[in-house]
Amino acid sequence: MESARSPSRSELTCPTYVVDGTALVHPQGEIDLQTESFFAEALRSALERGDSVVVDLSGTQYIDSTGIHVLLQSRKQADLVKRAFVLAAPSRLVRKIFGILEIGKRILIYDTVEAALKGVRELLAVSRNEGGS
Amino acid sequence: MTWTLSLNMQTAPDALRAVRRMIYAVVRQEGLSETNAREFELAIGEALSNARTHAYSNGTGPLTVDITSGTAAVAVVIHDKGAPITLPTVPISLPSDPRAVGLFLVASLVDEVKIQRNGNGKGVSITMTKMLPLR
Repeated sequence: MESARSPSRSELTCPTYVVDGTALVHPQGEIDLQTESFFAEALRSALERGDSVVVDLSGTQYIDSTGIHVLLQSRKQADLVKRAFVLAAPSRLVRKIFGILEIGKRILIYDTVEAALKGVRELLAVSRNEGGS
Repeated sequence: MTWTLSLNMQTAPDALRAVRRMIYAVVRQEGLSETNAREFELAIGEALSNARTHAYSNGTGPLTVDITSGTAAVAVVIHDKGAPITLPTVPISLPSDPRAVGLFLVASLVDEVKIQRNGNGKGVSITMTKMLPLR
């Protein structure tokens, strides 16, 4: 486990774990103007560490349009470097925001981290099969 | 009883965060559910970020925030003092322009949103209203 900052109510922490080759990022706190660049850096680092990235949003209490923008940019970056990039376990509020902004059309969203980890392994298997055929 | 609280502030991210959190506390006190209060807080956060981004070329400038609570609703008005701009319209569907996404989110999360030019010709005011449950 790697934690870039110590937990604080007013800040965001983004510990990242590597599970079977997948970088699992767990942002805890609020993603807004004040923390979006830190969040973007954590996702950039995760894309370098894993063959796929799962963002576990269960600890994210607040995400505004700047944070959503970071997620969409990271998804584009993941496509460029041929990594799977998915979201997992959003809270009710975050799910509502994703619904309003139709994020599910651009990034896969799973109800649980377990389902997301399984999902990215399947996505990678499909992509490798396609690449090898 | 109707009351108004007015705040004068700068567009520092710390201050924006403090204000949206305070408004969350106010609407909880006034009877909004946790879910509705969180949604209102997010709308306020978006409007505050918009003011910082669009009103001031360097991102820094003054804002006045008026919070009015009445029997039926809470209204928050954010006044900036930025340079004259084309008055934005509130999108009614998801905009393709990423700069308008925040305003669309605001409109989706509050009961009423209104944008107007300030009377003195300087800056813009955005008014966001959330209905309170019957008491």
